Amino acid sequence: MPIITGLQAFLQDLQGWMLILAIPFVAIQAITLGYSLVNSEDPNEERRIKSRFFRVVLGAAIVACAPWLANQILNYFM
Amino acid sequence: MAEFNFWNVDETVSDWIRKELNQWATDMVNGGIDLISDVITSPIDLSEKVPNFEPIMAGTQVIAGMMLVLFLYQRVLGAMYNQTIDAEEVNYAKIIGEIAIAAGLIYSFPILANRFAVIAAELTTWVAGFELEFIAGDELFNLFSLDAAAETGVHLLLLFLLWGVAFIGLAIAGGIRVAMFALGIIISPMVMAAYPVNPGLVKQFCMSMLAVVITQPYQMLCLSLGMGVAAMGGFWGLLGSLAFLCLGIYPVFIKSIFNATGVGSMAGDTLKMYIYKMVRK
Repeated sequence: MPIITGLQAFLQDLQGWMLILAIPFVAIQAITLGYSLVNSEDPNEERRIKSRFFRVVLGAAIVACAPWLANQILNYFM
Repeated sequence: MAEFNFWNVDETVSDWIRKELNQWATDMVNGGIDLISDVITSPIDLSEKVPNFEPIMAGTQVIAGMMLVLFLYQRVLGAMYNQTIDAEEVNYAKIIGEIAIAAGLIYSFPILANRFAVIAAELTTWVAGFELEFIAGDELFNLFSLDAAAETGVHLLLLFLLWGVAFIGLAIAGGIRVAMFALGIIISPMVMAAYPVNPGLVKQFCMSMLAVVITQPYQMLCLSLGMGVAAMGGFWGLLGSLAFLCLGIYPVFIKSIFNATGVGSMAGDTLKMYIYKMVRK
């Protein structure tokens, strides 16, 4: 069916774009968070900034694993 | 045409009219009886009634799976953006969880809907157990005392013709309900795939499907009440039976239009007003 092959091609391209996007995302967040970590005086704030670091890594990991996840979802129906 | 009596044209013509109306009504009822046993009294098995049902279902499930992956990417991209500009707290677990729920819904909704259809069919059989007799068309007319030789007004015969039309209309309404159910099941995966971006749509859709399924016992009830009242004979038999048959057609044709105009909410508000009044007294 043309719509299924079209959607598959679109999904492949989208996976590529998301992977390319994840690298600047991690880089920008590392720079801004590192900067605010150095400038902060409050230990609570430092803990919050470190947890945000972890969340950034988690987000990049999801984006990197999304092709695998998408494959699993599609295998249920095809 | 009957023997054309030149000196009594009036009687000949009215005889002819009576015979024709009788014939039309009989034909419609006899035609409707088969249709009704097909679409109202028996359970729905979509793979028999709809051609190519299984491949269509598989195709829409695949399309819905791909839509789901697209929504996953959209949500994750939005979360990454929010995190970069530090607009709000992001929760990746929520995104993954909603995607998983939607995938489960896509896979299992047709099975769930079929279970409900089976329950509705059992309800229908229970209602049919209350002595519904599908008497043949000729006996029906004898019940209404529409003997050709008797003094029967043409207005009664016209009412009888209308009754035949309503009977076949009820059969058509049953067929429309089956078609609505089939289309609902076919598009259901794509509605379920929209769950991560619009959960309210899924709830609305489930309510609509439930209403379509419940219509089958409702139509069976109207049919059995209509036939039961018709068996009482006389003018009330005809009129009351016609009323019941029309109410059986009502949900399928008119409700979908009335709901859009807000009549349902008006009725709900009126009911609330009355209940408050009663409670306050």
